[in-house]
Amino acid sequence: MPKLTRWMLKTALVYLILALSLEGLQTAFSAWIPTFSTQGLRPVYIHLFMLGWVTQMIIGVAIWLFPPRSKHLPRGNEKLSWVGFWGLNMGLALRAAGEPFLGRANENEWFWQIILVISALIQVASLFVFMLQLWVRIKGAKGK
Amino acid sequence: MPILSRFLIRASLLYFAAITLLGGALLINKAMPFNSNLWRFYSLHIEWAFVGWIIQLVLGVACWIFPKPPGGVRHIWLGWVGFVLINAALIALPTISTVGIFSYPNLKLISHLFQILGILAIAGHLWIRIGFLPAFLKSN
Repeated sequence: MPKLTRWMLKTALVYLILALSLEGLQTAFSAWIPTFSTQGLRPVYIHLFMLGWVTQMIIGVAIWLFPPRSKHLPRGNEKLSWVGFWGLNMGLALRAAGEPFLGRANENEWFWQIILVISALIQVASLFVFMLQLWVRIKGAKGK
Repeated sequence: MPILSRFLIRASLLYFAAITLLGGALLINKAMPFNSNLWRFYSLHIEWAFVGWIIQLVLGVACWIFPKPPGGVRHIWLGWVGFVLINAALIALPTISTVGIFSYPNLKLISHLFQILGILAIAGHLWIRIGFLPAFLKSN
């Protein structure tokens, strides 16, 4: 199993634990503290689960198992894939940090708005890196 | 990798690209609102993520790695019918709704019906490969 796949699978498992813990805490706090606002937490939970866990697990396994791109570069440009890995996880972490603070009418609203825009751009760029890396590895037995 | 798998996986990656762009635009729009009409595509973002990206990728990989019977893979047409139905349903959602031929709830209903039939067709193809074959299909 390549090193990048191991990192992606382990990170995916961490996100699974984080996502389920967040959902559990959100449910508990809503029940115990009536004034507790879950605004912004639900989309964070869904994206930690769908992007951090499901998508990262799928991409990690695909990098490992898809047909090799070529003899010299079986897994394509691995440096670029590492950039994609760090970008995806930094973008997701920024989103998780910023989204709960959005729309709470605090004086630092502009700061969280910028964080979320940066997070969106980093995530889109990283996911496109993975999409293009996998696209060229979809081929038949004769390499077509 | 068989040609059906290549079509299913490539289609799933195209939906992945689409939901990534749409998701990025929705997040930026949430942080710094620039077009409230963008939220109309929120349910499309979810539908394309679940069915277009994840389910289609899983089915494509299953068609690739599931056991192949000694006599070769039969009833491959079921897989192709499934591929066409799923993608027709998913592509029809945003395109026909913008033209306005059907109302959106009716269109969603038809789209879901096509998606179910498509997934049933591919499941039928995979079911045969797993090993359990209903008697009426054994003679073919």
